[in-house]
Amino acid sequence: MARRFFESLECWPNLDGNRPSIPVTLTTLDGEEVIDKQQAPVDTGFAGAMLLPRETFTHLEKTELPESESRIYRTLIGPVPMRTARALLRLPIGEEMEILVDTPKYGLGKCLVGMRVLTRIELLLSGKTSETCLLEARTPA
Amino acid sequence: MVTLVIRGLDEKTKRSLRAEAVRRGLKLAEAVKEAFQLWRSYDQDAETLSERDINNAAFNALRQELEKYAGKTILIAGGKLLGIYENPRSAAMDLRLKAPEARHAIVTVVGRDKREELEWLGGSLNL
Repeated sequence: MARRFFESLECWPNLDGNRPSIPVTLTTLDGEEVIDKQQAPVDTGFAGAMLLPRETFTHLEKTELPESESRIYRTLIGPVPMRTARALLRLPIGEEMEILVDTPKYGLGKCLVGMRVLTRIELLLSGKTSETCLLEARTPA
Repeated sequence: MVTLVIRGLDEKTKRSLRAEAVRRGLKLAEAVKEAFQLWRSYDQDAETLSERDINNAAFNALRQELEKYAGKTILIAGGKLLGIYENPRSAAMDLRLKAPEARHAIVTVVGRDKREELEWLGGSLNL
C-alpha cells in the first residue's frame, strides 16, 4: 500500500481530556441556527449521523420524518426507537451537509457525531496529544 | 442561587432522592434540576404530540396515494398535504409561507426515506 500524506488543518483538545470531539454547527433546513460550533463527542460505535438531546431536537420538529420511517438502533440492551429529522451540518472545514439527526423517542438523548458523518471527513484521533484534528489528503488514495 | 424548603416530603422519598443523587454523582440541587428537565421534556412532547399525531395520521392515510411522487419531497402540516417539492429544503422554506404557525411538520422524500435499523454499540449508550 502506497504511503499517503495528510495535512492537519485544525485541531481541538479532547473533551475531559479523553473524548475525541469536533465543533459542529447545526441549522434547520430554512436556516435557523440550532447549535453553533459546539464541541460534539465523536462516537464510532454510533452508525447514524448525529444524536441530539431532546431539547435541541425540538428545533427540528418542522422537518421530522414520519414515525413509521424514523430509525431504530440495535443495541446490546435491545432496540432503541428514535425520532428522526433533517438538518444541515457544518464543520469548520468542508461543505455543508444535509443529514438525518436522531433523538431517542424515550429519554433525554445526548449530543454526538456518528459514522454517517465520520465517513465523509478525514479525521485524526491523536491519543498522544489528546486532540482531534480535521485533515486534508495531500496525496490521492 | 436560592434555598428551597420543601415541607411535607416524607422521609423515604427524601432518602431515596439523596441516594439517587449520590449514585449519579450529583449534588441534591443538581439532581432536582435534572429531574425537572426530564419532566419538562416529557411535557414539551405532550404539547406537540397532538400536532405530531395528526401529521403522522395524515401521512399514513395518504401513504399509498403518495407513492406516485417517488423521489419528490412531500410536506405535511396541520394534518394536510401542503405540497410536493424537488427537495426537502424547498419544502422547509414553503412551510414558513404556508403554515408559519406550525410547530410540527413532516418532510420526507417519497420512496427514499425508509425506516433503517442501524447499530449503536456500547460506548455512549447511557441515555
